[in-house]
Amino acid sequence: MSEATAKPDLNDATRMRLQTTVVALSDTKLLLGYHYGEWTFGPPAIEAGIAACSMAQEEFGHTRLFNRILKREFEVEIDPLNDTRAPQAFASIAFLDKAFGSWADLVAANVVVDQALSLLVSAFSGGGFDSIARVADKMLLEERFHYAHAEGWVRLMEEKGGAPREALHDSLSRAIRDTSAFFGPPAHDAALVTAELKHIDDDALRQRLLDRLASLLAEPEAVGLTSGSRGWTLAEPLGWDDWDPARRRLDRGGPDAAILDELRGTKNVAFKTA
Amino acid sequence: MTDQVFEVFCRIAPGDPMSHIGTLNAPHIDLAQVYAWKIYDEEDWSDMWVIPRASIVSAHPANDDGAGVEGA
Repeated sequence: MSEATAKPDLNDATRMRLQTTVVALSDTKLLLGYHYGEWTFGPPAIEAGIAACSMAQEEFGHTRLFNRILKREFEVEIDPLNDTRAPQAFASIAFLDKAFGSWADLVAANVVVDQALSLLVSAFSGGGFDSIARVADKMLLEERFHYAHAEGWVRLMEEKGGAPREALHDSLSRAIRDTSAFFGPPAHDAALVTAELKHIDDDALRQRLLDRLASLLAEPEAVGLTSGSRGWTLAEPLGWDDWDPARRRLDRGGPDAAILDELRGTKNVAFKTA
Repeated sequence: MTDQVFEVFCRIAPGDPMSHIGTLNAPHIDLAQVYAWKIYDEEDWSDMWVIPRASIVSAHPANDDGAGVEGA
């Protein structure tokens, strides 16, 4: 790994934790944008397809921004079109590994994954890592409508009940576990908080996410949550023995090769201009 | 819950008259706000409003039946 330029006073371990966090933001937003883009067609309303397409553009824009930060601060180059990493090298949330089976998966990604990324970005707002701190507020302003979209659909599917609600709960259950893993074991990011790069640690962000999700649901227990002294937690806690800090996930797999082929334009190599 | 029709109004600069720029379908006002912003984002609007069509009341004497636009 090369030296960061913005925080030369950081030790290697802290710098590496910062770098892996930015890679995870970039990778997860790339996959999230892919799924949003896929659902430009096939959603339950034309307006929802347009919103999904718009959200895809914003996620891809944020990915490009994080990739510029990686290059400038860490001399790490991620070019989605020329990325040769194996799927098992991606630091993206496992819920995004496969094609979404239904609109319920998209809504779950929208309300859980997207919101988790925004919470993580918000933790850098006003912090000492200038590269993210100075763009965080604008990014979060764009993300405001992502959350409004997600909340609107969760509320709608909750009210509908029946099969739509059951499908949503199934998708949410999986998204919540994978995204909880993304926030890692308690105190894994203590160095970033101590160095004042973040003003809140990932454990607190996870708690904030679970509490917000529970507030949207009539029965949070139906998505694998249980109420405790700190707030809402996973009814079946995660074990951290297999957690990979470089990828911020427990699942050893990675995005489907077919998805990566599409993101990389594999079928259109002959037409590439760069 | 069935979709309602919403009318979308915007203006480019503060003080400009608001202009009707289109319609959309949404199940409730919260999603209508998101859809309006995402669908009609071609200008750098200073203001944007969404109004349920059912809430618009005709002021034309010929439609003086007290009904909203949808019922006229």
